[in-house]
Amino acid sequence: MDNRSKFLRIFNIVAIAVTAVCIISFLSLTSVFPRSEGYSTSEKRPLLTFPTYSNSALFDGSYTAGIAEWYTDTVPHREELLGIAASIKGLYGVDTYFQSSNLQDGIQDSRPDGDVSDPLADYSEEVDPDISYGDISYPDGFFELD
Amino acid sequence: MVFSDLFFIFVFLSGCIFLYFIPDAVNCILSRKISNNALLNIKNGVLILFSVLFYAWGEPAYIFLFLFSTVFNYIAGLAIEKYRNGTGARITIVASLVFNIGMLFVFKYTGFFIENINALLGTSIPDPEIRLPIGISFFTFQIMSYVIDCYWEKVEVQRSYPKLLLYISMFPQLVAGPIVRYSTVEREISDRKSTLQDVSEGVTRFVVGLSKKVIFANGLYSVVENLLGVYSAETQSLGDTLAGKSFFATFMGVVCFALYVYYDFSGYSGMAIGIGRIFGFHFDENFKHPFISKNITEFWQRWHISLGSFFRDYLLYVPLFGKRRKYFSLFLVWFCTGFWHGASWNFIIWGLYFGAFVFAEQLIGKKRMKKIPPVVTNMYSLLVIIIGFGIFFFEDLTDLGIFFKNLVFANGNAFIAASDKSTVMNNIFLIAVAAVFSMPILPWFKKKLKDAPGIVATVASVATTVSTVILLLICAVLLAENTTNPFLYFRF
Repeated sequence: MDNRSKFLRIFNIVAIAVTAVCIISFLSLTSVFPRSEGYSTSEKRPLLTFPTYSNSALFDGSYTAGIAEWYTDTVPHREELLGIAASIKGLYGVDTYFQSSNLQDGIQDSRPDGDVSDPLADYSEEVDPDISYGDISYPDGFFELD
Repeated sequence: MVFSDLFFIFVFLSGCIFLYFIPDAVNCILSRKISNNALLNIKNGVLILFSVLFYAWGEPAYIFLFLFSTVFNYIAGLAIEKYRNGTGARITIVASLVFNIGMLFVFKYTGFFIENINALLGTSIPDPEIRLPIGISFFTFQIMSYVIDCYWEKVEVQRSYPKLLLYISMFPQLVAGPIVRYSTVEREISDRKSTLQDVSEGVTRFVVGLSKKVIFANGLYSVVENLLGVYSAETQSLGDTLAGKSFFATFMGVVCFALYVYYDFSGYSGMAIGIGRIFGFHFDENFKHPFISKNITEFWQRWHISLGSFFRDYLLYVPLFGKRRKYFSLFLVWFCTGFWHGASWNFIIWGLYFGAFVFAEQLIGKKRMKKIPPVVTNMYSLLVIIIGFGIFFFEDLTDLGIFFKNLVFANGNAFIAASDKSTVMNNIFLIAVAAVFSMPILPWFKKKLKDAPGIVATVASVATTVSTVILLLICAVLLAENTTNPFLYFRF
């Protein structure tokens, strides 16, 4: 066996061992730490519970699918993992939220035109006829100090 | 069960690999007293058990149908051998093809045909709404390739049912391909060994495939949804949202969709090839950097190779259509290629669209095509491919019409909207890296490092291992979030 083959053999063993350790560590950690349960504050929804067995659920596939979904949904330290996932996704691009948050399509800053009912149409309030915004006249003594 | 799932990676696959290699460990302890044949039988047993469990996990009701199909075709193989060159063999092959194609037709295309008959004749035949068994298109084609190859005497008939069941049910390629020919794994089913190099390279290949799916495909799908809109589950269309999209959103949306399909599909194929390699199987490549193609013919030699070669070998050269067979076979191949991808008109149009370009390239001829500068041919291919994936994406034909209008500014919308710019900028590195790595960068590096001096090779090997572990951890974290993890193959 030449040096290169020897190296490749050792390298393969190390590579397999490192990956195996990684997988075993994940499995151990998910077994040792308690599974997440209850309500996810970051996602604003209750986490999945272990599916209830029934023959119909087994045969339509929802029971087995539910187990896999439950496993992912209740992974230990889920909230922390979600935070890391968000950080990773933050690297996908340049965050333009602040530049564009006021420019999203569909957001209008004026009342829409057309046949839109006016919610204040039937509202009326008795006002002092002396107060007019048109010619800016005020009742006598309005600016006088007590 | 899907590959890009924590349960699959850390429970199912890990458990299967552990049990698969236990006999080797026991054999070492027993000073190699177990014969190689017995060892392989135990390992095949583990693989069959996990493969049947894998299918039953996703399709508990259809597992019996699946097993019946394997038994039927196993008997068909034996009958072909028994009545070799006689009428019995011909009747058997016809019966087998009718059974397999019939099964595909009933489960996959019944709804489509009823819908079209109702629309055409004004009838109201109720749609039985038969649920599509996962992976039916893949395993049916594998079974058909086995029976046809037996009939054509390209392979020997498999007399052992468990070995044939292993070939058809092997979970790495069962639900999302590649379509593995029996001849590819015929020898390895009966005689194989997983070397350290196989396991190491298999693990790396699996993790790279997983990363393609989890990091790139899932990320790109979110971009596609932001740019083109989200399909309504009720109407199966994008509706009015698409009509309001800018040119930029429409074009970038289909560019990202083309990249998404590539990363999703090639990721799944890579994971299948990697898992197969861990168990000592050597599946053929299914994708070879299709976006660098200089023409559409080349694209189909690089894209979903196992499907293209299946149609080439079993449909294109069928002596069924006499003198006109070339053109009719070509039409049939592209019609089937499209229809195989889904029971919808847009897929048929998609297949025929590519077929038209392949036909045109045949008329122009290879010599003339080579005279055109590579930059021009690359641009031509990319444009045809990108528009082609637009046809693939829009299942609703009204949406498809709006898509083309958007592309030629016929809808009066803006060239670009602020939200489109924001979506692309928020994912600009993902899109750029995805585009770069769709080129053969890694194989180029691998080739360069092959003959590199010792120290460089050592550094590269260590970097590969470290990258594999980091990618696996990143994928695990992203899968824990699991907000976007589409499974493209439910319709296949």
